[in-house]
Amino acid sequence: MSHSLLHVRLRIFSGFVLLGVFLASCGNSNAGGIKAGPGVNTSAKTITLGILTPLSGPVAAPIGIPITKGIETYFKAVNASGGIDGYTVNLTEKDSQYDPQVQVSDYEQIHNQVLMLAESLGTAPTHAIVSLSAQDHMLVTAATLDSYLARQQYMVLVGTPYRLQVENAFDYIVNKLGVKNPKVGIIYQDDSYGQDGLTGYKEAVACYGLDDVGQATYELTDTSFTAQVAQMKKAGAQYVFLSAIPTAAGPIVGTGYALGYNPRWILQSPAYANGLLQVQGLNQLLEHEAWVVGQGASWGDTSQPGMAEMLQNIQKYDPSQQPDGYFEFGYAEAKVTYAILKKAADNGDLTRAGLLNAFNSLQNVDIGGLYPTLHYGSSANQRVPSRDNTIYAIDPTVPGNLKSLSGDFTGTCAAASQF
Amino acid sequence: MAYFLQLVFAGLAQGCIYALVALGFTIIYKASGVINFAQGEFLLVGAFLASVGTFEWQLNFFVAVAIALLATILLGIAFERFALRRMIGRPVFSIIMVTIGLDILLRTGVVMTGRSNERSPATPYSIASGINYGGVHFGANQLWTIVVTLLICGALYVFFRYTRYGLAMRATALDQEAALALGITVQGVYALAWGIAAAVATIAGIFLAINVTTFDSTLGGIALFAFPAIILGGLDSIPGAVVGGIIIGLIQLLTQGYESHFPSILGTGFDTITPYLIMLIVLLVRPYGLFGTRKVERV
Repeated sequence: MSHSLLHVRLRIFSGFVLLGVFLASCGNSNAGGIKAGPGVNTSAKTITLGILTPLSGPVAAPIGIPITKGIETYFKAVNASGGIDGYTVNLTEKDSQYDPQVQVSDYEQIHNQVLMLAESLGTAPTHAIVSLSAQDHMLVTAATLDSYLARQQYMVLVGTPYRLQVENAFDYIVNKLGVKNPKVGIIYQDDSYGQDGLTGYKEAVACYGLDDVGQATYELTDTSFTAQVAQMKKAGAQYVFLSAIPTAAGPIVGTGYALGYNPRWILQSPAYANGLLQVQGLNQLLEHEAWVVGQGASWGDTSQPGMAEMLQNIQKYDPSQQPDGYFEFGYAEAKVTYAILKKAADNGDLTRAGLLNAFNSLQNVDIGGLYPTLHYGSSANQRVPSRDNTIYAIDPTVPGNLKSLSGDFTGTCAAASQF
Repeated sequence: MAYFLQLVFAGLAQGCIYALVALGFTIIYKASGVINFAQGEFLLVGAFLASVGTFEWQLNFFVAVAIALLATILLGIAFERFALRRMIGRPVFSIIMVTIGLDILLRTGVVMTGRSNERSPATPYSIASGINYGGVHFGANQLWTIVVTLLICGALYVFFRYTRYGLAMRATALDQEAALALGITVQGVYALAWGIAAAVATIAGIFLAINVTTFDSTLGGIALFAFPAIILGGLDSIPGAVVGGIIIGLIQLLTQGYESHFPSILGTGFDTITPYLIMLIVLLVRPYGLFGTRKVERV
């Protein structure tokens, strides 16, 4: 063999080696009939998912930590029963501090190491990574019910969007309780989360003929809520909707009482947390004056198979967990993430494109009554997972502290609302 | 009218909290020329210890507050003695970085206890207690905030004007070398300033925590609103800190209460930037503030 021919063969061989290395580095390996993307290790049989959630700051204890524990518990149970087609699910968790800038930084750190995000908590933080996740073709199961995010191709929401929650709350007042032309107001967080509540509020005002007497905002940095509450009091609002977080909802209700103003406070689902009941004086106010609009089976209702399964898994993997609606939400989210992964694995395609195909073809996801059956599809309207809600009273005598007043229902406006 | 008066009253109370925070900044700055960026976290530590004392150690409210005061005063003095004193002669920037370090240390310390999320504040009265008059609710916490702020101002006035240590602090603030020549222990003055600032911050933290019903490790963030107050009043003026704090509180609450009447002009959240707008205007028009010392340079 001539020296030049050997040289050519070596170059061809090197080219193939480089091509192989390149393909492997892209993560698109194909082992055991499974196409694998980033975060999937076909030799170790692991799938790594990302979690961006506040583990410190005002949202951590009431919301971020219990939701994350719900997700962890579910996947511990999945792994213990053999994983997803033999793949063990690992979670890479980052503390977002409920800060969009930190969220982006966290995302940049892990986006090449994970197949999808099993959790992105918060409306504003999730907005911050919408375009990044779209660029990376990465699905994100988001702990937010923002209606804008529900329309996005790579966002997986679990539950009825905030906008429709507001509409259902006022449907309850007008159609179930028969209150005609009530005087209503809203206090909302001055960000994308609050704006979604405001959108629903405006739609409800038009749809149900409500007498809108006041709209007020607050900032996350506010330490006094007197101005907002005094505005509602002056306007005579009988029902005040709070698109807020617990650390604002508590002082708002407390300020109302201090000012001698006791309307019916309606708390958007993220505005309530069990921790508020630990605050002296506030617990009685919440019991008597507040409702929560949300979703989900009552804690301990084992007639729902999803709840029975969750309680069993808590006993096995997190026995110190107290009844908490956010834990339940996290667990429900994890079930939807599992449904996507399982379908993708069944299709033999654990790449990001494979996950998107699996998500778009999910149709209905039954999570055992933990939440009502969720619907998914490829168009914006089909991606609204549900439109129903339950109005709860706060009652510390029942597990989870929330007692259904209305049962599960879909209001007329929420049913007709177009996304 | 009742709405307006309600806002004025709430603004006064909020302003008093800003004033207490600003007082801490000013006392340290006046005595040692240092801007203490950890001032906000002294609020947090004070409120946190009072809450832990009341709810976990089951102490009487006033005993818990006394322990919180003692602990923060000792913290302030220790920081001055073991960290800042070693920085004498170093660039101002380095000293500022050390106080920022203390800020992070204090907040992280509270977080690491694992008890900092959504705490109930220690309080001797119910959130609903107060007096109603003319359609205005004068909340107990707001009333006590105003009364205690006035008492602290009065006490500080007497201290600086009539006591030996107060005179020593004033002398040190005016001219350190002359004070040393007169036999004043300047290091003692610095320690005293840090102790007083920590105590005032603790009291502000306790009132603030009651005001917000629940608090967490972000409580100290309010210190950012004290900056406009000290710039407005004058960085080295104790009366300026009080007046500046009250003005900022009043303007903020009134803006918050009326901004929704002008949504097309002010949008939402305008009250958040109002203090900083005032700060910018003051810096442009009267950089030494309402009561600050105007520096004259001979060239």
